[in-house]
Amino acid sequence: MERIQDLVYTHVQGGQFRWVTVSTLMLALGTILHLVSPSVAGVTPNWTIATYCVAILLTRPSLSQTLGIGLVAALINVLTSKSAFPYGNLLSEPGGALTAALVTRAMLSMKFRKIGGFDLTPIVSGFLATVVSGGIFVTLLWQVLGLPNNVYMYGMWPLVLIVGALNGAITPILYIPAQRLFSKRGMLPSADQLTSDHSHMTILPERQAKISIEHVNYYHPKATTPSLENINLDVHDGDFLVVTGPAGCGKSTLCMAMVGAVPKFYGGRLEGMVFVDGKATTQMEIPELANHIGVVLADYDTQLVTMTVREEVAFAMENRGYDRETIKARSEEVFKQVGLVGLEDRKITSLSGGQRQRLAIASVLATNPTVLVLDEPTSSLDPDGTAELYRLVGDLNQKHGITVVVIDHDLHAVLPYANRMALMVDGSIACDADVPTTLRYMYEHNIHVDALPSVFTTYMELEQAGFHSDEPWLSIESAIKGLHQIEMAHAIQNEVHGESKSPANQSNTVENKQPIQRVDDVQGKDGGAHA
Amino acid sequence: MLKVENIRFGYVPSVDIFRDVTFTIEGGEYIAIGGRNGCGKTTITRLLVGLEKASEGRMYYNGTDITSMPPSKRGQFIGYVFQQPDRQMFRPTVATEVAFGPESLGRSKSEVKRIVDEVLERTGIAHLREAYPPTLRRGEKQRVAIASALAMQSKILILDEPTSGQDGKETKELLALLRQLNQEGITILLITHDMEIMASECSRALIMGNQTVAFDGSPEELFKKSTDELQDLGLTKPPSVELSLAVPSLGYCKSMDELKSKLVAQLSGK
Amino acid sequence: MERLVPLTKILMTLAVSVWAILLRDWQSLLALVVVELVVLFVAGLLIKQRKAVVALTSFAVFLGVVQFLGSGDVTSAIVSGLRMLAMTLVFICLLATTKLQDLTAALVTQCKIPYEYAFMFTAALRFVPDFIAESHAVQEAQACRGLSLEGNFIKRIKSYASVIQPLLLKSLGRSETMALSLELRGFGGPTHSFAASVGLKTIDYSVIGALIVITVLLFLVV
Repeated sequence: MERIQDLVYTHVQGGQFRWVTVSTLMLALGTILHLVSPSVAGVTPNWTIATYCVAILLTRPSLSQTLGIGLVAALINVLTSKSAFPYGNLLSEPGGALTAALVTRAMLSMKFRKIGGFDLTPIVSGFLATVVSGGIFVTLLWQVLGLPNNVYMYGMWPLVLIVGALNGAITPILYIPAQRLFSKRGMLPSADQLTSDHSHMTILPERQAKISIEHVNYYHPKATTPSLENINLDVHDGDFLVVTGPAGCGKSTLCMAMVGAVPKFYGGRLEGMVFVDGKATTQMEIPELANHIGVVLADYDTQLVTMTVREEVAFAMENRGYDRETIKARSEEVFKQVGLVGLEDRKITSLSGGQRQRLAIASVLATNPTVLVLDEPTSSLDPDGTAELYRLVGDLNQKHGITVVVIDHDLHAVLPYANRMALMVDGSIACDADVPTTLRYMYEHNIHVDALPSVFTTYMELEQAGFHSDEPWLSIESAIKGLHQIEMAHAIQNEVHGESKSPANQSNTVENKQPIQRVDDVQGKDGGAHA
Repeated sequence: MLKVENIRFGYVPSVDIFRDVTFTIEGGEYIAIGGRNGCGKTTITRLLVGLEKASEGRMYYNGTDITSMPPSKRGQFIGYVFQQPDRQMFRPTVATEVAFGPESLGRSKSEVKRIVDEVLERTGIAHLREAYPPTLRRGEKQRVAIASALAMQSKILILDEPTSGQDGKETKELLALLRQLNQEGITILLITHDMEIMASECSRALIMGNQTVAFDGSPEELFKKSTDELQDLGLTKPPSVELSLAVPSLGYCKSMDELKSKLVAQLSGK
Repeated sequence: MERLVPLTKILMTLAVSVWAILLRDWQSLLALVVVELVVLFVAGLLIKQRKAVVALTSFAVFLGVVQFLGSGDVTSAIVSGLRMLAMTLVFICLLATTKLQDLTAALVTQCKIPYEYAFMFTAALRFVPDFIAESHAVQEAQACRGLSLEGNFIKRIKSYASVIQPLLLKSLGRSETMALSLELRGFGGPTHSFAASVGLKTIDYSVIGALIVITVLLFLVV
């Protein structure tokens, strides 16, 4: 058996589906660029071809994947009614995509690829892909419709060449900024990182918990300082844990470590180990882990990938091969749980932000995870939406027994539901205790204090001024109770001291009050717990 | 200064979002625009800047009829900060982003530079001149958006939910900036759902509801209404008001700070 | 139309295209076009899809004109135009009466297109409206900052270019989130099922039978 402190696991950055998502989004972009493109005497560049050329240059898919990308481009053209001759597209776009891929490969080994440091590949592939694609298209049109030869030779081919030239010009305009972004984020294909293999090891957790993070340090790819440092944290069955901290403290990274995306998607080096249901996350693939833990990403909007609400919820179930009846039954269940009944056939683009957030939760709940992790779920919701979201999540926790981990910087709305709160600072856990203890720790150590609800801050300020309440002010109700207590104490004190208050002793009234409140009791209960 | 008379608007001709909207905004005011979701808060501000066209009614700026003036012209006196600041940015650096407005207005190069320097300084982001806007923190992006609007040298600044998604620190700093701009004479219209901000920061509240202006007056008047009345408008009492009711002798408190200091003063017998 | 499964409609689309190629005189091609228009009308789609119909018609007219200019023959020009229209109108019938989800299921289970590609196709369409909204947002921001839309050509190109780049970079940023989300949701797993049911029913078999008969007849007669 391995000592957990000694475990090291490295992984290359980036998942296996980058080519899928980059091509998808590039083609979507191509579709809209086409809609708004300016034209020169009626001739416009072919944005679809340019965008798939960029996707191919960026992600270097295999040849069969390239043909698929071409096919997708054709289908999109047909479906958005841009194509006047659908059969032509179905052959011409795969041809164009294949040309782009072949040119990219061929030019990698060529000497004259660069002129004065400027890479010619996007120009050449943009031009040739367009000429091949356009050539196939007009040739088919010519053959099928029996067009005259002179039209084909002197009308159509020159047009193909002009559009090819335009595309040769726009492809680098799209490619160069994209390439810069990719290289800045280390997303270009490279082979200098290694992926470890833990499958032969016996790795057992030191502690029993739903999720246990043990002795974890984590370095992002190429980083020399850790993003997570000596983290030990357990999440127990039924917990509602809030992880908070100033921007850049590593709270999102911690959340990604719970679901295996750190380091399996983000790459880099993990020391120590994260266990989910007693199993080491390095011994499970991300989809397998996702059966235990459902995650709603901060950018939940991009997490939604289908057209309608119903399809979105079915998506993860379809990917796991659930049968039709199960999908139907499970969908109905989660629609009820998150309150989306009646919206099943709506288009996702027609939903409001709050509804999209609920849908993202529903689609994650569909496969029955026992833990729900939400990364900054409220950052684009208004206060009403935030309150509503936490009501829902609190409900899932209390009524459906789902363990919840929330990463958030806005604490006000989540407080009524949380039973634990962890504070992170600079990649480490500074405090992990019940909610009032952590809030008090933040106030007393002046960490991330602006995130404290104003009611709680007032409670602490009053306490410092010598006015104590039995319970910390976590809500308006407890604050009102506390206020009445303070008032009462004040009245009693006035009675004890009579109305003898003279201007002379006013300055030390604050000190006078202290004996009346049970100071030691309050501090004994809330104080040392985090030590 | 800005006068709106009997405005009526609907995205579909037969369904009004609101009608009979009339109000006047004076220079130097700090106005909160509130109301429940879908009441038309954002729409009314979009009408003010000309991104939507009213089906009826007129708008005047300093007596000039601006009802059919395009947004590009109105930009010279009304600056708009959209709800998601990153959606309104499109240039590679903060400085060029901010320069876009004055450049469009045809200012000379040296003038553009002077304006950009000045507004970056005012909004406290001079050190971010060369940064790439999408990589900034949310609070910084919000400042770039504000600087871009100020660069138009407009007298009125409209902000749509500027504090949503910001953490506590960013919100506090943003509010301080707005207070400072307001003191410098800029009229501020703040669309907000946040009752604490509405009560503590603004001098006037304009609440949309029942398809028209449902309330127009001071936040104090507004939050002294009953909880039920407020709920009808999609509002709640801010914590400071709620708590000040528990200790009637304190009177109305517009913020928790005010509540605390009044309370401490009272308990200490001062 | 709505009672047919997608595969039947795909086959119908192919069959109609074959007929359009086989038929050589303008009268029968015109008849085919009229039949398609009637089908569209009966299905209540003619009005809804009028934009697409008009666009296809104008492209057909354009082709006819090209043919006429090239060959100088009016009949062959009309035949080309009508053939074009007959082949493309049927696509509207296919697309307007089929749910995307069903079409995807049919493409993967019956036409044997790998699931990744079917997914890419629907996901791309899902993001188009979002991107349009994004580009509108940028244009509005530009308008609020003094850019008037009535400008000369160079100005318009410049404004267009300034819309493209942020859109491009934003969509690439999103691609990483989307890739992670796909992994988290078990995309690309060995077992994939579909919630949509697209198996052939009796009515589909009879329609397919009729399509085959007509095609064979046309081959023999023409």
